[in-house]
Amino acid sequence: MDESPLETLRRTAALARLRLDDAEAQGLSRDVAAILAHFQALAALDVAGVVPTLGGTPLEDVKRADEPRPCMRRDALLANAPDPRDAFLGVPKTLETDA
Amino acid sequence: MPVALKSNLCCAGVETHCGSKLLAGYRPPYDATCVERLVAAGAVIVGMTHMDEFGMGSSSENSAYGVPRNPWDDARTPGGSSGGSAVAVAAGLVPLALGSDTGGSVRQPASLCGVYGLKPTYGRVSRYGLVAFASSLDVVSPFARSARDLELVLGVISGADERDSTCQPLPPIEPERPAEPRRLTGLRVGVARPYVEAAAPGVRAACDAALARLAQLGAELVPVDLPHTEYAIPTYYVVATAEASSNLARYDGVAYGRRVTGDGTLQGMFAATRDAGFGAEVKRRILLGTYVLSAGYHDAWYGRAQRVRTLVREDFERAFAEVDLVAGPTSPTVAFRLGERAADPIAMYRSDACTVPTSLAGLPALSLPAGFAAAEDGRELPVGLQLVAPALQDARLMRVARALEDVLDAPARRAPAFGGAR
Amino acid sequence: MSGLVREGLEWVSQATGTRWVAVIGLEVHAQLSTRTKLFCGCAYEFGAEPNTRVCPVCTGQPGSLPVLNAEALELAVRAALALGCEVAPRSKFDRKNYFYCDLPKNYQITQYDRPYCSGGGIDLDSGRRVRLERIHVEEDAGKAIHDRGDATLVDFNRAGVPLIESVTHADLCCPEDAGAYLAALREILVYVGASSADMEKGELRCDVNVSVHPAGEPWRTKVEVKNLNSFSNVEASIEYEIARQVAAWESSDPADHPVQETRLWDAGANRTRTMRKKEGEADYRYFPEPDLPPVSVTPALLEATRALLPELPAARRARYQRELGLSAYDAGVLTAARDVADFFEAAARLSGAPKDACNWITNEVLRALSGDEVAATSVDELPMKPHDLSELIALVRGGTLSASAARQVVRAMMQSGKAAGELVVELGLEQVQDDGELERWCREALAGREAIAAQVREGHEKALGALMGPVMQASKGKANPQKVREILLRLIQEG
Repeated sequence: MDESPLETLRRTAALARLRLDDAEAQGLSRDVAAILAHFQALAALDVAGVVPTLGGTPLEDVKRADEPRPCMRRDALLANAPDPRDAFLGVPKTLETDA
Repeated sequence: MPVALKSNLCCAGVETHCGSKLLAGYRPPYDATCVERLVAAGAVIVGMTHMDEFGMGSSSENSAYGVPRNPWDDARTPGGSSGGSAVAVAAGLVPLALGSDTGGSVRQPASLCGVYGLKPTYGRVSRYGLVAFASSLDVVSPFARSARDLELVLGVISGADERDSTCQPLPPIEPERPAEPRRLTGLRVGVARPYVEAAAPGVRAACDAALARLAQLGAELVPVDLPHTEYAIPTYYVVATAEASSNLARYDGVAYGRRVTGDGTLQGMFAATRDAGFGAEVKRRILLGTYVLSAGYHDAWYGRAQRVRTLVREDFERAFAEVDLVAGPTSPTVAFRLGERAADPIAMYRSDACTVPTSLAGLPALSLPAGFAAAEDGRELPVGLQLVAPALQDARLMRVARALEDVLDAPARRAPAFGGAR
Repeated sequence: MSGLVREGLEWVSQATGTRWVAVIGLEVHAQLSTRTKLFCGCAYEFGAEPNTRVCPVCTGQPGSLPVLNAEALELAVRAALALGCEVAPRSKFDRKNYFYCDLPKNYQITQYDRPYCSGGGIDLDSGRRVRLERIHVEEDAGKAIHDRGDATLVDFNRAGVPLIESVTHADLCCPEDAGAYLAALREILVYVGASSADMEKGELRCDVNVSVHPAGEPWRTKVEVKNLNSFSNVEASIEYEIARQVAAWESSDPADHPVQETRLWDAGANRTRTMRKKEGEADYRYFPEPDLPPVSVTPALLEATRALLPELPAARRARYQRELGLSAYDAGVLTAARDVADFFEAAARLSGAPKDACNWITNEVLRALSGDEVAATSVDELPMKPHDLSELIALVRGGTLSASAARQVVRAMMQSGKAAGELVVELGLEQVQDDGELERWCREALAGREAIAAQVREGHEKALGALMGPVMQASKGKANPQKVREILLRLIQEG
């Protein structure tokens, strides 16, 4: 990967849908680089054979019965919507069918 | 009973903005489980409190809605991210407040404001309705002015909830009622060497004094090493930001929140909304979290952090084979000045050195007012002692805190009314 | 893109003489037949008013959390067993992160590196086997409507609906393989009750991976085709892609060669076109879903599910031919739907006459169900039950009913559900067995038809048919044809 730190940051920002101006991008690029440099200690640790912790809970097999519950009123959804359009949530016109 | 809520606990119809401009005006269509239970038990929700945006911070300065001040000294931070709830209790506005603790966000402000704060075992209190920061670490956590009040509120909010798959299917936490509540004979307390070593001298002295009281009550003090503590901060920040980058993806201006149209395309609207809506620290953490999950970096960062998390957890498992509790300072320093660490994220992250290991391990941990230490300007400021118990032994923490309450001076001291003002 | 001639499983370029072969894989999403969504209690219904089948969880409200629907996992396991897959004792859920307006949380809860099952496959009638790589459980996205007004409109009703995504190896060689595979997969999913798999309702959706290469050479760049909402679209898009890719590879300019991309099927234009190029390559940043603990499928659950599995259609078809002597065609018709096959088997067993049961079902019952004459649209809804049909068969065999009378009875049974015997009396359809009356009708028929009688006498027994008609007419179909025949022959011989 022949990416400069700034390019990496810009690519990462695009993945995260963060639009950054140049000054912001440069500042954040420095911050992230400094933070990761500080975190380098992790890389030095021997983790061979260590089982990863996948989440916070020791529980397993938590399921619910397939029983319907009342839905939320549509008004309750639309009340918070920036652009309610009749029964729908409006967003800028897009032709994509996938992300 | 009046109760204040951190602004990331959903309260139906009440603005719950999480300290973010993006969620200005957001009124959840439902109640968080803990809110529902408080109200059912007769509590009155008096308001929503100030916080670092989405819980990301250790000083409550990362907010779109101003900066709360420490009631003991208004030039200083109350800590964070649940700073507002800590202030509300410390200043006597409410006897109880709820916050959320992901890496110390309740324990650290409790310590800095001189009140009690308890992060229960992960999964002991339902997260349903707690706006997620880092799902595998977030725990709804109360502030109070006494250990007894903590027992009271936990008895209400803890316990099984079928709406949270990570919530333990157990009854609410019952207080321990020992025959001799003022004696701790036989209790083995491991003093966490790395936490003590990380602490400023004054903090250390105050904690030592409180630990000496524990010993006077009959507890036996032994040092414990917790050798992977130094890795806990990087591990925590990798895991927490990775989860946060995903949890905060939903703030895109489609169904709720303040939309910014941008260039008129859908993806442009997403980017403009998030650019305008998120503050600097949130962006920093989303970027960090996106980076550590991205192709080519995932294994080196996120994958590795998942493994180191296991090592941190095992530190505690080893310690608890020998001791009943682990103790040490909650925060390495007393309340720092507002703005002091705002420009230095790494210094800010280090504020969490003593609290993130227990978060990674999912263990219950309590911060109690242990004493006071002089800040660099001579002001006497609160110091918190942190007690950590094995998983599901939340009640043990409160029992020991109750015993200490009677022999320490600090719990009785109140922040001066308007008194922090200079 | 002409100049390509299909020879078996090869496409021969007329321009170069190169023999091209196709490599095809399918990814199929099937909606599980649960009452509620995968992670919340909303009851999804196709065609419901927009944004009315939603709750805080499936609209991604801050603070909401998913809880797994146990039935979804059970149906998924049922499908896996029916497809011969290996079910993993433990699996987990992961988040797939990408931004789109129909995805409420901007991540999809799916299964990444530990799906609940792997392996398995389907044997096609062509003799080729399509192996499955894996199946996993995931939640559906909502719906974005682009063709109304100046905004895109979002409906979250479908968000969170449980799906299984099955991914085949690239074992398919031609468009018809894809059609046959989909038909077989659909049949199995419907049979075991895992999915209704109605493509028109979006319950079954298919993405296709296609590449071509000269026979004997290594595989080349694959292209993904999306937006295929019918079996015929799937086959047509593969046909089109094979021709397009061969032409592209044979271009003298390497810039024209196929690239790894996702294309959309444009059913109106009958072609595929490049989807808008994404910024950079997709990076979904999968990680374990921290809101959901891992799930396990115990050996006990596996056995219980296996025990409840019905015999699959292919096995039934073979058995009907082997043991009941039915034709391949009839066996296929009877097993196309599970309720029909179950009905047939019950009627065949009760009557002891499988061929008769088959004939009544294929000729009368299925025809009635597809028309307007009965209210029911499926065998299960019919008031007529297998024992009713079996009784009817017995009446015909015993000579009480003629074939034409029996048809009237069957139609009445399908409407009323009354017993056959009851209807025979009600409709006055008992066959007339009384020799005196039968002989009177026969004599009337013979009167004035001497020429026909003469032909019969000369050995042309077929001519008897011309006499049978008037008798049956006179008796209003109630005369026993066998007896009429005997009486006519006797009368003619007596001259």
